[in-house]
Amino acid sequence: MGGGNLTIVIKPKREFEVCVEAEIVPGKTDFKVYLGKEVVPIEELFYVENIDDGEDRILLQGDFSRVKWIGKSMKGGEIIVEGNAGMHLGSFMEGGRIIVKGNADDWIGGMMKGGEIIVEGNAGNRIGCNYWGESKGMEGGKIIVKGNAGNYVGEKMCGGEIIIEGDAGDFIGTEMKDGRIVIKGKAGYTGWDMKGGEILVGDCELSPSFVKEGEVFKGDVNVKGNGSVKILKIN
Amino acid sequence: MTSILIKNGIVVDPEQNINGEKMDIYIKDGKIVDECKADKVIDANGMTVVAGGIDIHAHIAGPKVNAGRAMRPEDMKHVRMKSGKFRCAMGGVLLTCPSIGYEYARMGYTTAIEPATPTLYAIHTHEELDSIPIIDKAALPLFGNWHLTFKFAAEKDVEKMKSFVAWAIERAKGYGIKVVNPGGVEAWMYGKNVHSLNECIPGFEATPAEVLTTLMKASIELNLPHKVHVHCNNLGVPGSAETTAETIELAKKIGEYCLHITHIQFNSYTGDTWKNMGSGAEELAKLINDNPVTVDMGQVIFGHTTTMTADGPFEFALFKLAKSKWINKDVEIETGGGIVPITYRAKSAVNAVQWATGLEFGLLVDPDKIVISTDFPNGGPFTSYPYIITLLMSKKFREKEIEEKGVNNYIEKATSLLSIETERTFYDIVKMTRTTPARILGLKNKGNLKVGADADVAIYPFNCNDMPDYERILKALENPAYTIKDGEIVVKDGEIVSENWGKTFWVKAKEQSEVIEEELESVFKYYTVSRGNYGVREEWIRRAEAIRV
Ligand SMILES: [Zn+2]
Repeated sequence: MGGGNLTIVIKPKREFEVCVEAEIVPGKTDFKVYLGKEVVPIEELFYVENIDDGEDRILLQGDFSRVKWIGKSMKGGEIIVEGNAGMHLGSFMEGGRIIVKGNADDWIGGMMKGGEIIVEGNAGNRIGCNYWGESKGMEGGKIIVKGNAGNYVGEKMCGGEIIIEGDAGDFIGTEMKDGRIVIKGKAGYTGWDMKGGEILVGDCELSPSFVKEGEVFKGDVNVKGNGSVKILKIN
Repeated sequence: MTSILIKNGIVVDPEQNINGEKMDIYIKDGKIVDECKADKVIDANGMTVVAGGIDIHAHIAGPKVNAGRAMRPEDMKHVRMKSGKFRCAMGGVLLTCPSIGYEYARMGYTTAIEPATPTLYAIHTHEELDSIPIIDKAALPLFGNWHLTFKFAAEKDVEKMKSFVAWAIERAKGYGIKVVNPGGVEAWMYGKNVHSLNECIPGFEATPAEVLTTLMKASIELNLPHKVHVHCNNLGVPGSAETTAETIELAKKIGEYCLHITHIQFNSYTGDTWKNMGSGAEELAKLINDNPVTVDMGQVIFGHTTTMTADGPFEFALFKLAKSKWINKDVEIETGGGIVPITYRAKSAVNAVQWATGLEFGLLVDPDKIVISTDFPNGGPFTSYPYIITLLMSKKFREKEIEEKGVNNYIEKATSLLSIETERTFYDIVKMTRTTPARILGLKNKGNLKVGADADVAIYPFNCNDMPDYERILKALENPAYTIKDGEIVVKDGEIVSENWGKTFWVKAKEQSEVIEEELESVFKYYTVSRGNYGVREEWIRRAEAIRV
């Protein structure tokens, strides 16, 4: 089976007692779905409807807060999550767009290289970060969170842009190398071990190892970094 | 236990000078027997039958292997096999314990030696060895930077050194003497290293040469099945070839076989900077062939891996080059260690020379003296042994790899690889993976198919008298038709079909610890564990097998 010219509507058949892993991506209809460690047919857990409308789109209706890996490695097309989304949304993504109308869980856009993720509610921890042990976080693309974000935004980020329109937690841009993070509200600890890139934040607890240069703070000097942090409240 | 008849296979067993003869092999109660009534017959017609492979040097268990896993979650997330009939097997280059056993068996290997265990942490090493299915194994305790070693070496007291070695091997349930950068790891405690065999070790009256010589003599007098297993001084830097040549000289002076130089590739660079570094393999291969020493390759595989060694100062130097993560460890008065992830790149001149140097050794050293290894995980995964074997067997494959991987052409100037026409025969390969390691380790029931030998057998789906092209050789070596361990079929067509538990060999040498009582008492004043709690008891090990000498 292949897709590409249709809208696929997927709805959970029940509330999931354990998290389900489903690498749902546009252009594909034969998703592998894991319930625990077993692979199960998608029809066992979801209603699937294909609408031949010339679109390259997936509509996720209902509660997907316990469905992980939506849009993993997707390269194009569109996913619209009409409710909440589970962990690892859009990780390793290379292109296309994901819109979450509700809230998203942790790890959105992990190591993504391109494309766009828009969360209209809040998002969890580790947005656009690296996976454990890896040396690069997000490398390209754009993540927009219209609500608040949790801890760790853009750890080891190497490119692309993250915009949080509300507040964020601690550890913003830790070990960031390049790219741009914008937090319109306030954030906690920011800029630790930052080597490059740019952070714009309403207010934050900036690492003390930054040096003020005109409008911005440069650092982190502890790692001979050349990142810049602009704190809107002060300036 | 079932009895098995392997019928009509083409047998290669250099230990018995059998080279591609069609014959039947009988197995009963885990041993090769003359003849028996067989419950099961394997039709090996057109297939090659050899003993199980032996890895003489692979870091497969112990605290630094585990620290490496913790340090590299990005490598450990790779799933090789989900749990089901067998345990879940994980890992990319680094592997979980079940993975290690399964992957060895899947290549037709049935024995592996963990080559660097601090006696203080031997309990951890044995816990992990006990979690590795299928293969037989053993651990080599580290002696080269132990304060007591320095003391007895300074006093040139072979008697006390003997007692100390026997005592420590017994405590560690170890198999032999491992020496890593003698004196250098101790110097590293003060941020230094030692740079020659005749330099005094800081704080002691001994030199690395005296440490090695005294340990070599002790290994002979104790009649250890495996003699001194050394990772030379100055490893991994330009100019190391000279130190290796001097180390071979030391062994020559003793006059009889007592030295195995491990991962020789890492210790064979000429030049004095990274810019003019070259391979010393040609000269060293001659020295090895002419002197009573053996070696293993330490072949480098292009790609990422995690280096781990007791050689703390070397790992620090590597960390400064690689600029990634670094673990450093001090093991009280015994040794130290370091871990650094790195990537070997074909396009890098230095890495290309390392790759070529390993192959030069594999092609130039007498197969009775060299064993195939990657110094897992330092040079790369042991799962690439089929690949290394194929490179050694086919010049065409070497040329294709150089071309396709874009190996830096600096190797043309800095190594002799391109001018070597040698293609190893399968008989040579069986020596380099079975016969020779078994002899070096003194494991008489391994590496051969004599009556009475352990029934560890690999059956490869090709006819060694009519070798196919390199692609099919590689595929066959990666997918043995059968691997038999202790008389049980564990692998069929490259897949695990059943699992059993291998033995852990250790050496019980004649011990006279009363000779060193005073010294032992004095050091245990400073240990974090009391003497009574130090070491491993035989009954704690799943299937310990003592070799008494
Ligand atoms: Zn090693």
